[in-house]
Amino acid sequence: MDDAAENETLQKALSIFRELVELPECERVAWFEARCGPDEELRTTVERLLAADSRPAGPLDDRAALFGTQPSDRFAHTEVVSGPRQDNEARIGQHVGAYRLVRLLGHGGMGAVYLAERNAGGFTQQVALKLIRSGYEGSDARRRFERERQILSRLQHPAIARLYDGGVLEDGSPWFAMELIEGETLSQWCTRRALPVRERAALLLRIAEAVQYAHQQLVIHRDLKPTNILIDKDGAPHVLDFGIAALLDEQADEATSPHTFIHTPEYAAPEQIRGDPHSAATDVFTLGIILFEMLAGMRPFQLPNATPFKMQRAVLEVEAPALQAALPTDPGVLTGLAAQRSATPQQLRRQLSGDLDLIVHKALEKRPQDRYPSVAALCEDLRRHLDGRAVQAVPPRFAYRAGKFLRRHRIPVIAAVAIFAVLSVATGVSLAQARAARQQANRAEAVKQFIVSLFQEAGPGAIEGEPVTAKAILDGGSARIEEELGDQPRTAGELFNAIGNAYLYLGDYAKARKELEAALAKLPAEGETLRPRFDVLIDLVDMASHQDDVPNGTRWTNEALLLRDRIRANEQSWRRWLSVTPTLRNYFGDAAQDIESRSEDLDLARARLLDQGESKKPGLELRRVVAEARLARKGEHETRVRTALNDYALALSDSGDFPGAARILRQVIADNERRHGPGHASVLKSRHNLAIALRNLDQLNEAEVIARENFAIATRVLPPQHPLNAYIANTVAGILRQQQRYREAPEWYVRARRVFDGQPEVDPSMLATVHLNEAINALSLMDNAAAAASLDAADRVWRKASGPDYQRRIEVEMRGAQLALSRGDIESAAATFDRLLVEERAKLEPDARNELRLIGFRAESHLLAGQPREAGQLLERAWPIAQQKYEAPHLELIALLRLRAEAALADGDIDGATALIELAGRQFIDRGIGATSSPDIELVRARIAWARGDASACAAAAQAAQAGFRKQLGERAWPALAARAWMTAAVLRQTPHSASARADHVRAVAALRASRPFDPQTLELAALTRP
Amino acid sequence: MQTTGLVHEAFLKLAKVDGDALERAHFLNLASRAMRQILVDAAKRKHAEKRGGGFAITALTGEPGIAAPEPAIDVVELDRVLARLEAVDARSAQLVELHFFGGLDFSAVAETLGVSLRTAMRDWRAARALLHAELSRA
Repeated sequence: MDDAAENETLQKALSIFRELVELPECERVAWFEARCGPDEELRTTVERLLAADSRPAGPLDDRAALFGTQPSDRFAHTEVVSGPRQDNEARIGQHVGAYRLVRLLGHGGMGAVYLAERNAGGFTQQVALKLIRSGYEGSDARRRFERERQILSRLQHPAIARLYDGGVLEDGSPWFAMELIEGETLSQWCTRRALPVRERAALLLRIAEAVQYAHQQLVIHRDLKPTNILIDKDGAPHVLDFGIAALLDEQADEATSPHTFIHTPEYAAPEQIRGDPHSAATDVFTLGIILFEMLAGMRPFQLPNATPFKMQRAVLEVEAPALQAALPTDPGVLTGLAAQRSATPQQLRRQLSGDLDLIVHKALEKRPQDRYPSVAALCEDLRRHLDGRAVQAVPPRFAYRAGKFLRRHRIPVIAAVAIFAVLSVATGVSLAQARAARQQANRAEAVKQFIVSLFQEAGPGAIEGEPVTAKAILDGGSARIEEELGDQPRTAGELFNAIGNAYLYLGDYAKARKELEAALAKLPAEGETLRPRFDVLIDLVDMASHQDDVPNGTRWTNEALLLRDRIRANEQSWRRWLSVTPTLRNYFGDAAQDIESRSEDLDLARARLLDQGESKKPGLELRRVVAEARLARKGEHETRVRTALNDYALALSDSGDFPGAARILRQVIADNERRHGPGHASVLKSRHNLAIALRNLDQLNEAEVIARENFAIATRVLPPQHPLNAYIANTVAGILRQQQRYREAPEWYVRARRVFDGQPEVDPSMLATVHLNEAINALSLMDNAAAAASLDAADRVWRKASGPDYQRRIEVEMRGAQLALSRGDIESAAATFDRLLVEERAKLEPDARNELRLIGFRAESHLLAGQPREAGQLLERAWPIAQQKYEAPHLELIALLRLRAEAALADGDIDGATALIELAGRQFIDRGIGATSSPDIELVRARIAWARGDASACAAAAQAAQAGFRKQLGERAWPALAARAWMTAAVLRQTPHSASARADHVRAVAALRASRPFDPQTLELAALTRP
Repeated sequence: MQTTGLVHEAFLKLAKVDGDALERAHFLNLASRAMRQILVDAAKRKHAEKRGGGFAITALTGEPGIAAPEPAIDVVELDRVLARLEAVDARSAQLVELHFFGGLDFSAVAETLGVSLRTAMRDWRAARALLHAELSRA
């Protein structure tokens, strides 16, 4: 059924489904029949929908698995508002703490303010009692609230409204008893008295001094605005609600009630909007806005009909206008405004165009470090101005004014960028310097993750989007970070890390390293930047492990381990402190978990690095530890466990413990299939590794089945350019090779290679490996030209990347020598084999497989050089090693026996040769793959028969060999030609006077000469028909 | 997934900002879609592997790069199946994006889509059934 028709059916089915669920059960059947009619497809589809509907829980019901939260049920479009006036008034007469509520003074966004009284030692104290509507749950919250309140109550300054008392009611509402100030708001005061510009500046100075005092006590207001500032009848300013914002935000974090975090967006600083921690410079900005408004009558970023969203964008992106420019243009309005400042419009303009303008704009600089470093500095400059002295503020730089403050990528996922642009998490000071660090970390982490994910759009497996290359984004991104975030080393460092990571993913290790080292430079090993530095180091170790850069990898590992200990120690002291406050523990708790998981990632990277060394054991051990740790951790995520197990199994494989690897992998696969059903994508890797392990155990039938099946699944679930396709195809080819089905392998290598068409930089190592495997297969097929071409191709790819790793280097050299050998360049090939053998033996843990293969090749070289005795001795010494390494019956052992037989034969030891070849033959049958013999074995039998003078046995064996070789390698391959020549030789011996027999043999020999003129067999066979 | 949790939190806070209804709806749609894309990209990235072990064989090593816990849900599959739904019933797919990826509850979703609450819930039920049916089929 084609797509369009299928879609139509689905559409109908959905409609019918919707109708059905509205009906009572008893009516459904009839409706179903009526609506679906005879359409089988439709019926089945609707039934499927109904079935799915009735199943209790599926992925879509479990957002928590994905997001860690459920959709908010109390999704509120507006802030918490106080209840209706009646509610508030109803409280009058009640007691709150030691105070009695007397009168309602006002109510607003967060609650209500009452006039309250307390009898204390004979006199009545009157306070302003602010009652907040919201929930405080639990005694821990109250204890925290208490602590904070005590800090705030220590603020004693004439211009700061005292906080006397506070608490939490039964129902969870917090309350504060504050100094009762009678006065007007800032704006009212200034307007009513037509305060001139100079007095306004002076008034702001007094306010700023109060803020400065509070800063010295390490308290930040966080919600400064004109309505929070009252001026009493003496003209003295009083700032209200100091630090209360901090208290309320703590509670809001418990998610008991929705609460906007930018309390008053109109007065928020850019860094507040972006979610950076609040600092002294933030209050400088806010004071700047207040001053601006006092002087010019409107706020610097005020837009007509602006949504808060737009306004926040403006704060981030739009330059504050000159004071003059903010004045109304309408002459009537302007005159009125000027009058409120006891001035004429011209006078007003003049007053606003001098130093005051400079001061205001220095306070309103977008970047905190461009502003006054502290409120004290702002105060100083105001004083200078009022004294008539020169001010510190200098005119803004042109370049700065010209550029935009925030430049962002213009890519499809721009909405997500917008989210970050207005992410606002307010932070406080006392209690929460840690929290600020944490939130900064969260934000940077999020930004980093986001950017990496953006880059993936352009990488392999891309979804539709702009056709930008990942490299282009990355290359551009790096320069921008320095430019835009030079003042925020931590964020810059984390972004460098993100980009470095992206390069790692793309396989461009050189660039990755550059970025990661830049990240390191930005993130010193202290305080807040400990953790991000740790992350960068882990990535560097990972990179080093892929480049076999052991010295640097070790260096970075050592530092990472030191940092890990320090971080753990920090987390310890955190945990003790956090034990007082379970809510915060939840908030921070995942950091502790996180460090252990990250630590394990470090261990896995270290393990890969250790693999480069001579012994497999340390890497293996590390992986085992990680695997077990993850298995043991309850609730550890399935994928992390699987990753660790896969890694461990692979390492076991590498170290030769194939049964162990196979066992673990089967377990992983079984577990996974239980969870997800058979044929699921998540075990592609595990199944792949299992196929490899089985191959190494010579259980080829099962290995082939698994590998082919895996490929089918991969084709179905992965995009075609996904590297995993190549890995799997390569494995299928390898398994075919092991069954000596050499002619079937090339198509799989081609499949593997095709995956990288157009994107060779994705995994150059793998691409080169596939070329190498093709070369090896070509050598098996005795196709020298193809082998040479593939080796070249592999070399070229490796040159562009970092070069082959240690193990592959050996393989490349060995195959090169093998190629030389088949071209008759015996001496140099032999020399190479000798050298490689020495190197292999010199290792701490020599790889028996490598050793044996090198020995085999060296023995072949001896045979080709006419040195059968040396060959025999070499092989005999190797035999015990082989028996230890491989369990009979095994292809490798059979091959070795065959070689020994050839050597014995060439040396004239016919009986010895016979014994050996018969042993080989028996093992071959024992393998149980169905065939009774292999062409290699038959060829040796033919030659032995010849040596014994048994021409008919020789002919029979040679014929069988030829048939087998033709099928296996094709009729042009050397072994097929050799078999044919032995056959013609035997026939000739049987019929020495037959001209056709002779002609046949001559032809056969000619073919030999064309293929391998130097081979002793050629010479021997040619001698028969020498004229 | 840390990123998601955070983007999501940010998203919730952001979504509370008042704006005119049309702008909000537009924004929420975009943002939900963005969430979905981010997740799918991240999931696809996790599948990718770096090079493997031995030469002729090449088995695979563990996860590369940034480590973050992977969701138990196969996001790639979900995305594929959701794309299927899109072809059949675009509004329902959008609903899923808003509710599942965006995390909005049904009243907010209904408002954004301009339908009644009842319709939104009914459409969700249908979409959910279809997606679950397709997922278990895979």
